[in-house]
Amino acid sequence: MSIKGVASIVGIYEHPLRKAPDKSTPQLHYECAKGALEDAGLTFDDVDGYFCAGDAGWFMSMVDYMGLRNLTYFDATDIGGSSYIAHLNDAAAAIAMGRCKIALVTLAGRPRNDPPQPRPYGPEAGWEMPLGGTPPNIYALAAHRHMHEFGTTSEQLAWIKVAASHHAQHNEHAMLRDVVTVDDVLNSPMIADPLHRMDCCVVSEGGGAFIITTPEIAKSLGKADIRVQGAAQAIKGQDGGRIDLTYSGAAFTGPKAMEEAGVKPSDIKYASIYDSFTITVLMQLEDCGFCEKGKGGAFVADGNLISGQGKLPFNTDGGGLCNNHPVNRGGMTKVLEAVRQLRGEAHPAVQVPNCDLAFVTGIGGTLAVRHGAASAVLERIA
Amino acid sequence: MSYDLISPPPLNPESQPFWDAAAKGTFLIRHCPACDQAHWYPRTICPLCHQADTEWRESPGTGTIYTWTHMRKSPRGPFALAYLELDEGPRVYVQFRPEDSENLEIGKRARIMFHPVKDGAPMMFAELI
Ligand SMILES: [Zn+2]
Repeated sequence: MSIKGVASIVGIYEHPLRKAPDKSTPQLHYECAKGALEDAGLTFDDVDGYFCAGDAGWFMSMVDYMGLRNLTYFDATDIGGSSYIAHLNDAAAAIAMGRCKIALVTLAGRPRNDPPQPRPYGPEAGWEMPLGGTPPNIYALAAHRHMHEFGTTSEQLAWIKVAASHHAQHNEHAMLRDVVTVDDVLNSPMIADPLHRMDCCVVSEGGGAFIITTPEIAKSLGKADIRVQGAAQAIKGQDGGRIDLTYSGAAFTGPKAMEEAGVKPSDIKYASIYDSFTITVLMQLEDCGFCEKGKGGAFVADGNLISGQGKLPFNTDGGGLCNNHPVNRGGMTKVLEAVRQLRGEAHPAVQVPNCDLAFVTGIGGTLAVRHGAASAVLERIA
Repeated sequence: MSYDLISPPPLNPESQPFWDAAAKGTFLIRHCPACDQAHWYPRTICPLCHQADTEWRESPGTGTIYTWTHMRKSPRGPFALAYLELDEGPRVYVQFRPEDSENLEIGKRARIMFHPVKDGAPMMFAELI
């Protein structure tokens, strides 16, 4: 049994705000849901499946707040910022099983205005909490090891930010719209060796949502049929101390999602690669097979990720590095930009010609301690 | 960074013997008689083979830096994190003591040590050797 072809994305919405001091977090979720439903031509009463993660707070309360009264299926799986790509997988599976027909996925929040959320800890709390690790320093641990094993350089990582900035200049909502150079990245302050400030994503508010349904309903709505052709998710932890930082969970999810879709990396016309940090992109590109393990540095250099210039246009909205990383969770915006590309609705300056096959992948949690990974292949069906 | 700015680790019945030993300066790891492997962080049932009751063993805590980072700014000042690959095998996610934060390299030798933190409780660090 496979989810290939069983579900289509018919509605998307990205909140235009990047700072939202005058709105509440539930309000942002609600506005994103409403935006995605309007894009699909559906109403709240049509929704019978709802998926969200920890940013929605107490799940039942959010359902009640939004007046979602017809739910027959729901799931609040939280694998950090990659949750929404996993939700795509889970929603497609639920639709295939007939548990629901029209599923809503939301993400929203205000990390600049709400009090900081304590980092979630499980059984490792006594061993790890006093270390005070935060995403920049934990991702830096993986970056250092990658450099040591494969000779990856800060200049190569910088190219990822440079490519994102080339795309963000065309996005009127992007938080950072200035095109930057490799030198700009290297001259930005060191945050956690070897990651500079410009190796890190923005901290933004707002959110996003998408609607996923059956291909039949997609057709009846007259929307472009953006079909889920493959998806996979995984969790990678420390494995009792045998942790190997040269790869991520995307080594399992990328190839698996592509296998289910029956495609290979060279078929992909556009890729949304979760860019919490530059190293996150490099690692996933290798793990998903876009280049050989250890050759990610050479692959991303010299503008290879820039739309119109390079072989693999990525994050054409400017990504988390420049555009938007709502609530420190970047998986949602990765799905949204992939759908825009497949619909031909990306900014004309970055739209990939005849973009009918896109790949989405994300790492949530912390790359070098424990994380969730999720990947999906989306195709525009004529 | 000052040791006093670090909160002590929360304890539970599974970890209590480790911290009792730590208070005396002894580093313990869990070893599994079924698969003959040590693991980190300590668990009663082996996370590698899921068999048997694992046993505490004293360890010299020596190993090699697998990776490291130096966080240049934080509310408690700069600090350094690493994975220390113990000579027994497991890679331990650990904070380096402040005195060594700026001299780290992959491959350098280091060992586990304990130092009092806020409220005088012992906390685990790594130090260069
Ligand atoms: Zn065992």
